[in-house]
Amino acid sequence: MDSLEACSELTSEELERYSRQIPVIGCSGQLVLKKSRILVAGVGGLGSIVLYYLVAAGVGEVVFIDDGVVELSNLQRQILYSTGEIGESKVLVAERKLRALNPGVKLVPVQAVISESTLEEHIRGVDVVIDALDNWETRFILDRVAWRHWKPLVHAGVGEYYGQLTVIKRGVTPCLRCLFRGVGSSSRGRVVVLATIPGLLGLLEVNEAFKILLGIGEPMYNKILVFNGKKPSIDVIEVKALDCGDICSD
Amino acid sequence: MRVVVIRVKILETNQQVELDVKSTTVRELLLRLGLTLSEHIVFKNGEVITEDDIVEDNSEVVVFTVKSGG
Repeated sequence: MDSLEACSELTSEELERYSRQIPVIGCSGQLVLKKSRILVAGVGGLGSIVLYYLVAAGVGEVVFIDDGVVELSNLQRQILYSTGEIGESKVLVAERKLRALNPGVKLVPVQAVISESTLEEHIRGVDVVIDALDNWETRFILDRVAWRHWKPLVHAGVGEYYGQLTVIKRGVTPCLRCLFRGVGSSSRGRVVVLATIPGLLGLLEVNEAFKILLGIGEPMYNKILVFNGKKPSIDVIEVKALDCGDICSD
Repeated sequence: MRVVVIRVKILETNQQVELDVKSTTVRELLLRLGLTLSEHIVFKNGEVITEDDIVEDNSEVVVFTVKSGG
């Protein structure tokens, strides 16, 4: 049962804006989202969709980090950006679009290379970290910092018709470096992907973040969702307890 | 008489492959399948196994191609 107190903490504008969602998650759930802080690493194909939905749904504060500028080849899938914005900073364009979408959300755009020091500066106070990166080298840095600070990390990666998704939580799952050990961390190739795939996986990442924040359902802990855009089904691999040795240590 | 089989499920292509070998390393297994080590994760009974781990007969393994893009 939703408390009147929780509803009274939302403004009349918020009660109307989220009126199709509050009957599902309650005023208390909407308040949880409003008080939440999420860090999104990367604002490309995954990050575009992730940011749109976090902001639309009313997450209180969103920090997003990227050092890129909008390029013509981004526009097939990175839906935050438009043709007239080619050459502009991605995070600043994203901020402008997202503020227009929902002025009630605090936006923290960070124009920077995603490094250990950048992440250390912004990860404190964050409830969930979302991996919207495009290479393993930076992913493993993100994993190390999130692990150090005991922050849940929602991971997705995409390519061609495919994608994978899992959620890392210290004390519950192995770290990403252990789970995906053996993956070439130096591979930083050009992303080739069907336009819909980052959109689909990005939405699944947001759904995982909401499950974690709201304490509902079953987050993808110790499971890897493998999406194949050519198949009529989704595979889920169960992961058993792994011997990670010292792979996950700082 | 064929008694030695390793069953491999490759998720990307939805293939089920049976290999007539008594045991093999993950590295050799992927080589036989024409797959690269750096792009594939191999699971045996829910556990990630890496290049030098041994896959023995009557094992069932799942191979999936890890995607790196965003």
